[in-house]
Amino acid sequence: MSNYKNILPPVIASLLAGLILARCGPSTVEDPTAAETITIQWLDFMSEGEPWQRWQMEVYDEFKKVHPKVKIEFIWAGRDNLTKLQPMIAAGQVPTVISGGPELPYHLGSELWSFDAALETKAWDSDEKWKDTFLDQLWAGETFGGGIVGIPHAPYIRGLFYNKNQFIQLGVNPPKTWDELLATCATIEAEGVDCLGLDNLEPDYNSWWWYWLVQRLIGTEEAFRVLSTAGEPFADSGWLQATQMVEELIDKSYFQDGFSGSGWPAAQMLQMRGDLAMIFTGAWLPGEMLDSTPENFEYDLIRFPAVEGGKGEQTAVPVWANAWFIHKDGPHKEYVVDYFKIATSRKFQQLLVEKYKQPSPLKGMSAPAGLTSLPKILGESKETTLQYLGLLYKHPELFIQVYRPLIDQLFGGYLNASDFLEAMDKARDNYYANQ
Amino acid sequence: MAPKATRTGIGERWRQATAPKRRQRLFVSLFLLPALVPYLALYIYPAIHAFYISLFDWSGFNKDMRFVGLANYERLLHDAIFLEALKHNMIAVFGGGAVMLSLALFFAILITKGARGSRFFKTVITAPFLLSGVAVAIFWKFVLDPQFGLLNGVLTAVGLDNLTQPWLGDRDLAFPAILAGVIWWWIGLFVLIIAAGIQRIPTQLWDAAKVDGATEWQTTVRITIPLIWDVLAVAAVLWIIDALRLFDIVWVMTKGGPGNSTHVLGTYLYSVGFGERSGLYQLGRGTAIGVVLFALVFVSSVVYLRLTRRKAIEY
Repeated sequence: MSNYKNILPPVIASLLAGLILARCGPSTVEDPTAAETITIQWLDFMSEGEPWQRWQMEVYDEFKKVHPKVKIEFIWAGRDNLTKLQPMIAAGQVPTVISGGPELPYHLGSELWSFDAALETKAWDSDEKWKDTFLDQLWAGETFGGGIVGIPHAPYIRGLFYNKNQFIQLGVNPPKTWDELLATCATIEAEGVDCLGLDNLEPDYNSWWWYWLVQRLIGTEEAFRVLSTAGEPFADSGWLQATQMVEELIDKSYFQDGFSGSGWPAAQMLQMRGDLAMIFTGAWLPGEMLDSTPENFEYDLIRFPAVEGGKGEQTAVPVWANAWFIHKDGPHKEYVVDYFKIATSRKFQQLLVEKYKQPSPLKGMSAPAGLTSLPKILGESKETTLQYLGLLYKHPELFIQVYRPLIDQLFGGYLNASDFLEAMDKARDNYYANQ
Repeated sequence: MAPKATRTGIGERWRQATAPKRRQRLFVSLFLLPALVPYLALYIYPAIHAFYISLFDWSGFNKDMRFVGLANYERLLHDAIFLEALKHNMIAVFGGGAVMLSLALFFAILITKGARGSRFFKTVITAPFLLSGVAVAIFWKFVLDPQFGLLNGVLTAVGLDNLTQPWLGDRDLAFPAILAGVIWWWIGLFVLIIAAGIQRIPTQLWDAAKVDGATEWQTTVRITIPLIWDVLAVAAVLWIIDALRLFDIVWVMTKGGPGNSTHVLGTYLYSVGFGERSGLYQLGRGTAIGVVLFALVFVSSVVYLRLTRRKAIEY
C-alpha cells in the first residue's frame, strides 16, 4: 500500500501533464479560463473564396481545437485592406493581425510587434527553431528596424512563364540569356505566335522589364543608388543599353499586338489560347489561372535572362512574400503566434501546396504544379532582392510619381532611350529639389 | 417716462404679433432636429474635419500627425499630376457635358416625338444607367481591348483595320475613350430627365408654330429649349457634379494610367491617400485634394445655378 502511495502522485501528475499536452500540442500558452472567451480581430487582405482564405479556415479549425476559448474574427477585406486599417486605428479598434504585402513594414514600421523572440522558440511540429524552418531569402523583406516584424506565408518570385508543351511544339528551348531570348522570339514570331505578353495598363507591369535589365547590366546596389540619389548622372552605359533593349523588344513587336492598351488578364488569356508564348510575371500566375488552364497546358518558369557583360549578379531574382503582422497595440498576441505556428507546420503547408496549389514559405517543401522550377531557381540564385530593386518600398513617391509615368511613356513609344534617361535624371532632381 | 413706455409698448406688441411665427419656427425646428443631427454628424463635421486633416502630414496609420499648415495645398499648385487630373475633370465637365447634353436632348426629342421604335430605343438607351460603375468599366475595358475588343473587332470586320487602336494605351485617346464610356453609362438618365421636361410642354405650342410654318429646327430652338431651360439647368448641374466626382470607371479601366494620362481628381486622391498597395499613404495630402474637389463641386453648383437662374416659363 505504501508503495502505491509513493507512486500515485507522480503518476497522476504525469497523466495530467499528458492530458494538457495532448490538448494543447506544443503551445506554451494557457487557454483563457472557462468563464472567459477571447476575441481576436484579424484584418486580412484576402477576399472570401480565394484559395488562401479557404486554407486559413482549415487552419482555424485546428486552432479552435487547441484554443477552444479563443475566437478569431476574420475581416476578409481584400487587397485594399489598409484603407480599412486607417479608420480602424482612428477609431481605436486596432486589429491584432494585419496581413499584407512586403510594403506593409514600410508603412507601419514601428507600429509592428517584433517576432524575434517567438522565432527562437520551437516550430509547431518539429524540434527545429521556428525561424529555421522558413526559406532564408524571405526574412530580408520582413525586417524593419533590425527586427523581424512579419511572418511570411506566401512567397513569390518573378520569372518568365511559358507553356512547356507549346515550346516543344514550336521546337524552342527556354532562353537563358538575352541573346537566346531574342533568337527564341524570332523563331516564335515566325510561327505566327506573339513571343511576349504584357498587360501594359496594369501599373508597373511594364517596368519589371526595365528594372530587371538595369539590375542585370548595372547591379542592384549601384542602380538603386543612382535612382535614389539627387544629382547622380545616369552615366553608366548600362542605363542606355537597358533602355535600348526594351526599345528593341517594342520595335521588333515581340510583345503582343496592341499591348500598350492591354489590361489584365488579357495577356494571360492569350497565353491560354496559345496566341502568345511567354509572360514575365509573379509566381501567382499558375494559381490564378488554375481554373482556366487547358489540359495540354503545362506551366513552367525560368529566371529572367542573363545579359552578357552585365555588371549585376546574373542569377539574381526578386523574392518577396505576403506576410502576417501583429500590431504592437493588438491584444492577445500569444494566441496569434500559436495560430501562425499551426499554419506554418508541415501538415498545413502540405495542405497548402497539394490542395490549394500555392507555394510554401518553408524549406524543403515540394512546389505546386506550375512552379516546380521555383525551388531550383531559388537554390541557384546567388542574390535575391526586393521588387523593383527596393525602390518601391524605400522611395515610394519617387517610384510611383516620378519614374512610373516615364517608364509608361517609354513603353508607349513617347520617349526614345536617350530622351527617357534625360527625363528620368531631370525628374528625379526636380523631385528632390521640391522636397 | 411716456416715450419709454411707448417703446416698451411697441416692443411688447411686436413680440405678441410675432409670437405665433416664432412658435411655428420652433415647432418646425424640433421636427427638423432628428434629420439635422445626423446630417451635422455625418456630413458637416467630416467636411470640417477633412479640412483639419489636410493641414497635416499624416499616413493615417499612427498618431504622428505633423502640422504643415497649407503646405499640402501649396504643393498641389506645383503638382503636375494633380493639374493634369484637374484638366481631365474640366474636360469631362465642359467637353463631356456639351456632348452629353446635346446627345441627350437629341434622343429625348426623338423619343418624345413618338418616332417608330422609340419605346424600344428608350429602354435600350436607359439600360446602361442601371448598371454599376464597376460593371460598366469592365464591359468597356473589354470593348476597347486591342485583341479581344468589340470595337477593334468591328473595325476589322468592316475593313477599317487601319483605324484599330490600343485605345486605352494611347495617351491622347485613353481619356476620351473613358469619357465615351461614362457618357454611354449616364446618358439614359439625362434622356429621361429632358424627355420628362419636353413632355410637359403643351402640344398646341408646336402645332401653332407648325401652322405658322416653323421648321423642326426652329421649333426646337425657339420653343422646346426655352421651355425646358430649367430642366436643362438641373441636368447640367447634375452632370457637373458627376463629372467632378468621377472615380470608379476610371479606376477600374486604367487606374489613372498609362503614364498618369487618365487620372481625375478622384483617382489621384485615392492613389495618394490610400497608396494602391504600393507605398504611398499620404492621407493629409490626399485629403487636401478631397477638399479642393469639394470646393469645386460646391462652387460649380452655386455659379452654374446663378448663371442659369432664368425664370421657368409658365404655360
